[in-house]
Amino acid sequence: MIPQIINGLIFASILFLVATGLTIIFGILRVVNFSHGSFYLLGVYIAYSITRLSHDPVLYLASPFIAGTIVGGVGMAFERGLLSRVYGRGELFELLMTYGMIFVFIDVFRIGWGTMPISDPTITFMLGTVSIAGYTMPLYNIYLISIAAVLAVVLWFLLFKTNVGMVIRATSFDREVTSSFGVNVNRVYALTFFLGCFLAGFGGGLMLPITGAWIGLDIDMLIIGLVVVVVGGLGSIKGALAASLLIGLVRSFGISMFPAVELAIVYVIMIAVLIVKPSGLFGGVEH
Amino acid sequence: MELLKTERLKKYFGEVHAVDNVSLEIGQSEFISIVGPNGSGKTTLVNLISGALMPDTGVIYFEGKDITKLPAHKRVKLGIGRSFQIPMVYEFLSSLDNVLVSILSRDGYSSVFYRTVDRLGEARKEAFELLERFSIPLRLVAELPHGHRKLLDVAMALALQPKLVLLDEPTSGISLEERDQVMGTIADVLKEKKVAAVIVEHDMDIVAEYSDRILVMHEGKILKEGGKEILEDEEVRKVLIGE
Amino acid sequence: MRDYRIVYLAAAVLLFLVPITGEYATYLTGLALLFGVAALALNVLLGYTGLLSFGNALFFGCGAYTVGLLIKHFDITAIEILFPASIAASFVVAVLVGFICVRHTRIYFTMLTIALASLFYALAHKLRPITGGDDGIRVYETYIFGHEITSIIEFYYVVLIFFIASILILRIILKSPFGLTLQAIRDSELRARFAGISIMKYRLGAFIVSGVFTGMSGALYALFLGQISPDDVLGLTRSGEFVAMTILGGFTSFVGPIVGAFVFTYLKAFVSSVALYWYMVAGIIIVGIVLFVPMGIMGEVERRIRGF
Repeated sequence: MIPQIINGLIFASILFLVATGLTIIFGILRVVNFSHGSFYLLGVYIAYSITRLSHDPVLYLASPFIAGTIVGGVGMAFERGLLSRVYGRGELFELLMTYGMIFVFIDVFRIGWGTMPISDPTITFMLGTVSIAGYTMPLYNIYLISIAAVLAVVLWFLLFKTNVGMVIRATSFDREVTSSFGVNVNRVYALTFFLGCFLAGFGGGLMLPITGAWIGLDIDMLIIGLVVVVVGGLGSIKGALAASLLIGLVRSFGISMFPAVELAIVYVIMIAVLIVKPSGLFGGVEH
Repeated sequence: MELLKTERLKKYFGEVHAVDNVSLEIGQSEFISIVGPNGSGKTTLVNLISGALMPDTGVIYFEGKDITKLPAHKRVKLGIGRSFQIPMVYEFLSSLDNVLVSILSRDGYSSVFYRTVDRLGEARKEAFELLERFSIPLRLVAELPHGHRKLLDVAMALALQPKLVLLDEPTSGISLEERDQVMGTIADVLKEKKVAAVIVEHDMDIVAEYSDRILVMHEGKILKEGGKEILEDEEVRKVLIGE
Repeated sequence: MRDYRIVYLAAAVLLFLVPITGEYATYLTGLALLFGVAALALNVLLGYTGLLSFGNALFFGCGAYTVGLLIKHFDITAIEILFPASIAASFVVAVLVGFICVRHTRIYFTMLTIALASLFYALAHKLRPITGGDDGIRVYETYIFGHEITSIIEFYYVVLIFFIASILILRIILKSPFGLTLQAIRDSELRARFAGISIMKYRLGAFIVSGVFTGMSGALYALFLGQISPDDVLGLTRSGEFVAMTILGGFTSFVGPIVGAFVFTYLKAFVSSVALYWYMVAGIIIVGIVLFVPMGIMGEVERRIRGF
């Protein structure tokens, strides 16, 4: 049981980071960012490049933060430079633009990091192992889950207890009213995109020692992220948290018990949730 | 038997009593105007009768049948049509096709997928005549000015040949000079097809000229009900002019 | 009003003559014809009903795998059985998936189509004993009324007949009262409801039309190509290609998606043959269309013809 739970929590942590980014961006900009999986993958690759510089454990532990920040910057540049030009033309075009970026990124990855899968578990050896209830496992796994939990708390504090968070949440309710209070809505959009992409890139960086990266993971991550967001309720962070835990654990137990159909179980859960509650677990009213 | 009857209809939005205990009856081919200040519940009442909103409590009967729980499109099939305050039209279709959609739906033809529309000569002819009658040009709706869109919305409701039509401010946004003519055309069609009408209207001259009966609404309730003489009533004037 | 019948006739004659130019051109054009039908079917939802499906590969794969599985497990090689079986399978899947999807609109609809297509992708991928997993299924030695189809040219004409028949049928459907009603729902769901129209029923109808035509083109794709795999026929990028083709050609025009499918297919073949980075080019094309020609090639052409 314990290994499945730990594996499930690792998976849930990453799903939470990815899905929260998606859901925040949707909540504020009303855009579903199809290139979100690509930003995640970019995070893994950048963390990989950073840790080529030196085998210092501190650098290894810092790499997700650095990668997240760079990915956030790239995301913000994309939002300002390209995406913002199609605002108001309808979600079809916003969606397509983020979809087109998936392909641009694929070749960026191929040119920058080659076509072979990459991974670097060095840090997990450096940190050693711990024993929980008789099971030995890498300390890094526990670290990953803890840091994601800490980040969830920080995020909650940022959004619900600070002025910046208040402005962001106000914008998600009503952009016209918010801008009439003298808030620069463009800046809020840019900031939101930074935050969302930071979370994706950060999650990617954290996974470098465990799964690494390969081309194709971008789309896998996007789809599972979308599933989490749909199950949790589009735009709801609480929903993203609940659905990440649900799907993370289900997948982990599914892999050990029904390996042939583990992914299918996830989709079946999604369909079941949607039939019972079309707006997702924590979703409000649509539109 | 009356055509439509509501019993103690209630709709609250939080603390706001948008429609509060409204009981009314509408006879066959009767022309009824609802007047009242903004926010008095006129449009909410129209929404309740047409099925755009469901009442909190109360019952609605149409031709003696309880339709309170019936979804909007099924009420249309029974014979309740409506138009909208802000015209609801099909933006990227021609004005002819806009009316045609209603006619095809009325005749139970909407789901026919094996014949093209241009072979349905009868229906197209009827749509064309309706457009002519309301002097709406044959054009893409996105290119029509507001007044014509407004009329088109009404024409789309009448094309259904309803027994009762609910018109929410049919002449708003239409110039003063054209108003009489527009309302005259609508009234002619109503009379000709023996359609009962409930109209929400701000222009008191129109209300006085065409109504068989006038309902004055205030804060969700029916304040007064009667012929055009009630427009002279002290209390009604006070409410309408707004102190 | 100009008469475009001459243009259509000329196009049909050209398509008929394509095999003269060699096997490769025949193969490419055959693909473009199949994708053209799939893009047109996608546009039944996007352009006519106002619903963006990012999961139409689900039907494409459904048609293709019906053919593949029947050949692999039941040794059925008669196209006159395989093809109707694919139609039936895509119809059933469209009804089931449609019931879940059409209750939603806009982005919710789009995400559901992705998720449901991914479910089928995952199944095809993981149920190796049945589907062959990643290796997919080989489709060969198929017969039409006892006659074995061996050359690509023969296959091309089967595809061409299917293409022309599909266009004619879809044109009637989209110009029918049903098609008009779909467009009305697209423009104003509220108004349509107050014209007495049951919105869900019509959306489901559009979904089924889209699914069945996409399924048929998927079935012929399997027969034409001789090889299918989950990534090729069920993946998100396959669904995305249908969307990209439709937007490239123009979703406001009936022939737009077909034009888009041809341009996309030829361009992909050309770029892949001269450069390594087709993905980059595809991404830039999609972003470029969104920025500069949002109404697509035919949207632009029609605008110029009307003289705005």
